Amino acid sequence: MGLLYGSAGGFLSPENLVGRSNASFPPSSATLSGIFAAHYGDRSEELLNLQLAGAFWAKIGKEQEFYVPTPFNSLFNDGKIGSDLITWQCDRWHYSTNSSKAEEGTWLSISEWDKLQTPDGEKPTVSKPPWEFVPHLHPRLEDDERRVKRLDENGTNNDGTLFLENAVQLKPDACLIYLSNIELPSAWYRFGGEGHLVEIESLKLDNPAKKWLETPLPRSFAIVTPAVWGSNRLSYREPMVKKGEQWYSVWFPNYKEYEKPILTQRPKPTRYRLGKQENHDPQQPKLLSRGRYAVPAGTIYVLDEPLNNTWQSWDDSWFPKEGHYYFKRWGYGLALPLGNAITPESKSKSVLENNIQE
Amino acid sequence: MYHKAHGIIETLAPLHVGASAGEETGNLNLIFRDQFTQTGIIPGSSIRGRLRADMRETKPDRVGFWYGKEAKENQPNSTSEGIIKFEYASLLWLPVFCPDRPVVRVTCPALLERYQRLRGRQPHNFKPYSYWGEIDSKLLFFNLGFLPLKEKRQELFDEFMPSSVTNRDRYLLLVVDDKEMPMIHDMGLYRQSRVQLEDHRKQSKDKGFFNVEALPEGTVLVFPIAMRNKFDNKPVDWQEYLKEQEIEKEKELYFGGLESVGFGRTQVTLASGDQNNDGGN
Repeated sequence: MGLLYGSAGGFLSPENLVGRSNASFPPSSATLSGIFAAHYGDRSEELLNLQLAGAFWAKIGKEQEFYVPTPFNSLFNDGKIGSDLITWQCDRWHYSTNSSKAEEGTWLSISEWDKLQTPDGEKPTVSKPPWEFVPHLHPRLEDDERRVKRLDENGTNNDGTLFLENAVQLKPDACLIYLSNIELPSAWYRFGGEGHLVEIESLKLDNPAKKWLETPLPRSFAIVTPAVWGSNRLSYREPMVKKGEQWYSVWFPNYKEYEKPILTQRPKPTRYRLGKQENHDPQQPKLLSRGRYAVPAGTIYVLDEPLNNTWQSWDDSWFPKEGHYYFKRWGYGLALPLGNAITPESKSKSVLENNIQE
Repeated sequence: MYHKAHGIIETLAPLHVGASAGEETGNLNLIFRDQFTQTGIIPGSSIRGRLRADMRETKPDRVGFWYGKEAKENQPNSTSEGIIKFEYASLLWLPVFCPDRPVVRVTCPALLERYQRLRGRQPHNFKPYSYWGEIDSKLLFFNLGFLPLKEKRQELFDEFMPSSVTNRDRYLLLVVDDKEMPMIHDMGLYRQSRVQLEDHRKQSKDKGFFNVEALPEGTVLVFPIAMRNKFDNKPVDWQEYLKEQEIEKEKELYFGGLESVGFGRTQVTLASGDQNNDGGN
């Protein structure tokens, strides 16, 4: 209904107004999970099986063709021409020749996902996100005068008089999209920090997203939401399970650390608030989870053998567990098939031979 | 889930709410703007602050209940969430000078759409250059050139001109294209240079000269209000809020800066979304 909250970490003190706090947007699905918890009650039946994924966005009226983060192997320069592709060939990532600096933080409509299935063929188009940050200063005023609070008698002001919010404004014709397995009644809700309001509407998921979520994953796939793998304390780049005292890689049992066919970028810090404290007002702040490093959305995995299942059927034990919940609840590591990440055997041979001749 | 309501602000004097971060250092004090339509807004925090300060004067013991309690030093969990929430007020109608009128109230589809949405109504297709009012010619002599008028739409007046607005039927209503709105808005703003003189000489004081822009008198803005339906398992009543806030129907409130020199006087009307009316009806 208005602005949204986009600040993250690193807050400003009144003495230092030069910098801004970090920005983080859109809110993670854990934020939305809070609205479900508030609506259904913390220990309700529905909530035990809740599963969410996001965040994505869409144009209003075209909600089924929502936008997901562009996989890291597709390099775009002006949003249209995706001439450059990074592909896995036999044992290494191969960069196509004319790679110049690529745009970052682009999004791709799920209806164009089929164009990512072959290395050649028509290239998809990508879009920039439909939101803008609006730095927004909240001065703290004197109770009976319209001016910023004065200093205390001893020359300090413990409360601080200025608070700079990194507010976010969403284009009026755009909305945020989250996937969920239970419905939330259409209404106004509080979403994210600073008590900002949103209007939430539940829609039934349809094609093309439904089709891609039901397609068994082949050898190569991309994640469209951040992924946290590993134990409760350590973050890994792929699912790890514990056998005895040792941690084993689920997807890459035969690889050494440095040569795994994973195409990724630097990790994204992630955390959320969870749970109700006993004997407290329900409006009180919740407990802050441990900060984790997540593999960013857009990361590509190339396995030796096809997985032949979908993200929904992945084992809970691949995900870390905090409190009562596996991280899968919040849609971490939602994967979609990505055919163009591998150069076909025959072609890759000839490309390699060409490279050798050159 | 929240009880839906909205408020209408009609400016009775120029209105300046500004100084967003980074813009306060220049010599033109800009108003706070929407990033996409580039039109003036009043942040929700300003609206909240105004109403909260008013209640602090009349019912100090109820402020914490409606607006939430502040954090106290060294007391964990001393804060609480407010019952009532506000988002920013966006422009609905902007009065613009037009040589042969002399005033036209202008808006654009994006702004009308927001008003429509926060009243919970279905989307409506607003065509640019539709209008309402009496005209002699289909060509309007606007400051930036001639503007063609297309369809006359009665609903612009019936549905989109809140009934609380003063002289609501006096001026021509006009919908322009979203892309044209920023320029027309900039043209229509109230701008003033202000100078503070030395006490005994006719010379400006150090830092006593600045320029300010403001929304002109007669601007109509709209903002959403959300109220929690329940608190402590007891239902919260919208009428009770209106009573304690002392806005039974409408109220004059001051917003923004330069109040002492006559800026910021407005008339505010609150309407519950459930009644499905648009203000004073």
